Amino acid sequence: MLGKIQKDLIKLLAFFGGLFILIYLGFFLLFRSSTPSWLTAEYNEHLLSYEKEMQLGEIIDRYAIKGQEIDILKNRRIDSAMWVISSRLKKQIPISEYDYKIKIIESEMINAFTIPGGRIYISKELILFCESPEQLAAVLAHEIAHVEKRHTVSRILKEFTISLLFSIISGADTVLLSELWKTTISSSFNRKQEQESDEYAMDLLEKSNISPRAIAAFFRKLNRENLDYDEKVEFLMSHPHNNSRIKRSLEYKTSKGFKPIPFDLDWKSIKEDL
Amino acid sequence: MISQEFVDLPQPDQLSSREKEDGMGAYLMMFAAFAVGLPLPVVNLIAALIYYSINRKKARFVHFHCLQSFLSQIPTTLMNWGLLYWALQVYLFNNYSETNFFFAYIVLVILANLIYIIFSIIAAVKAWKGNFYYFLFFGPYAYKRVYSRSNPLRYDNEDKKETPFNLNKPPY
Repeated sequence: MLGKIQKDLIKLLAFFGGLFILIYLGFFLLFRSSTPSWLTAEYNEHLLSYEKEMQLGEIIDRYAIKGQEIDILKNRRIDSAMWVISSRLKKQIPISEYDYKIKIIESEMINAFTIPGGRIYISKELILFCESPEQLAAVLAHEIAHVEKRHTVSRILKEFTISLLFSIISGADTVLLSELWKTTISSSFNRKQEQESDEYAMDLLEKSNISPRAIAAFFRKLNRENLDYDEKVEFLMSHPHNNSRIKRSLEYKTSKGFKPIPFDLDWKSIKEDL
Repeated sequence: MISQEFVDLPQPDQLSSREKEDGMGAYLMMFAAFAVGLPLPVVNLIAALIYYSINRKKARFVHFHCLQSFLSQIPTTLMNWGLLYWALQVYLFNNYSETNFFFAYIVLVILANLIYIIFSIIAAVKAWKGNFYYFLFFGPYAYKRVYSRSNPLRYDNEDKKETPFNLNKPPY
C-alpha cells in the first residue's frame, strides 16, 4: 500500500514536471527572444520610417515654438557647454539615424523630454539643479537612449494611429498638433522602456568616459531635496522607483581600464550666467 | 489481509443522504472559498481546514472526502502563492524581469488550477452519488488514513460497542 502511494507521488510529480518542461520548451521555441512580444505589448515602431519621424519632429517643434508652448533660452555659454557635453556623447553612439537637436527651454519645472526625430528639450531649472556637467550628461544620455530605442515613436503610436500621424504630416492640423504636443510631453514611458534606456545610458556614459554613477548622484540629490513626489518634478513622475535606479547605477560594473575624464567646464559660472 | 488492516468500505445504499451531501460539500465548499481567495490564495486553505475540522467526525465517508479535498489543494495553493510572489516581484517591485520561465510558470499554474477544478467536480458528483473517487496519490493516502483500523478517531454514526478497550474486567 505505502509503496503504491509513493509511486503515485512520483507519477504526480513527473506529470507536472514534464508539463512544465513541455510548456517552457514551447515558449522557448516560439519566442527565441527573452520576452514574448504579444505579452509585453511591444509597439510597432517600425511602422513609422525614420524620414517620416524627422518630418514629424520638425512639425511638432515648429508648432511648439510658434504656438508659444515653449520658450527657447538663448545663452551662448550654456549652448557651448551643451555642445561640449552632447558631442562627447554623440561620438560614442555606434550608428545613428538621428541628427540630435538639443534645446534649452525656460521652465519652472525640473524637466527633460524628447519628441520624435531626435529633438531633446532640457529645462533651465534642470541645468541649475545639476551639480556637475556629468549629471547633465547622464540626463542627456538617458534621453538619447529613448530616441535611439525609438520609445518616443512607440509612445505616440500608442495614442495615435498611423493614419492619423500621416494626416498630420501631410496637412498639419493645429488641433491635432496640440493634442500631439500634449501627448509627447505628458504621457510617460513604461517601466521597461525606462529600464532599457537606463541601461543604454550607462553603457553610453561609460564609452564616453563619464562615470555611470552620475545617474545615482543625480537621483540622490533629488531624494535629498525631497523632490521625489513633488509636482515640480514632472519629468520624474514618469520615472518611478528612484531608489532601485540608484542601486542599479551603483551596481553597474565598468570595464577594467575605465578612467573617467572630467569636463573642462567652469560649471559654477555657467550656472550663474543663466 | 486487507479486511484485517482496513475497515470495510460502505456501499452507496448503506450511506445516508446526509453523509453524501457532506461529502459533496467538501469539494463545493472549496470552490466558493477558492473563488473568494483567488487574488490572495490563502482563504481557500483556511476554509478547507475549518470544514475539515468540523466535519471529519461525522462519518468515515465524509472524513475521507474532506481529507482528500484538503490535501489535494495544498499543492495548487502553494503554486498560486509562488505565482503571486513572483508576479509582485516582476510587476510591482521590479526586481525580476519577465522571462520565458515566468510565462511558462503562469501557464503551468493555470493548467494546474484547471486540472484541480475538473477533478474536484468529478469527485463532488461521485460523492453525491455515494461513490468513492481517488485522486492520484491523495486518494490512496486519505483512504489509508481514514479506513485503516489504527485510525483512533471515533465517528458519530458508528457503533460505540466496537470500542477495543475492555473497561469492565473480571476479578481474576
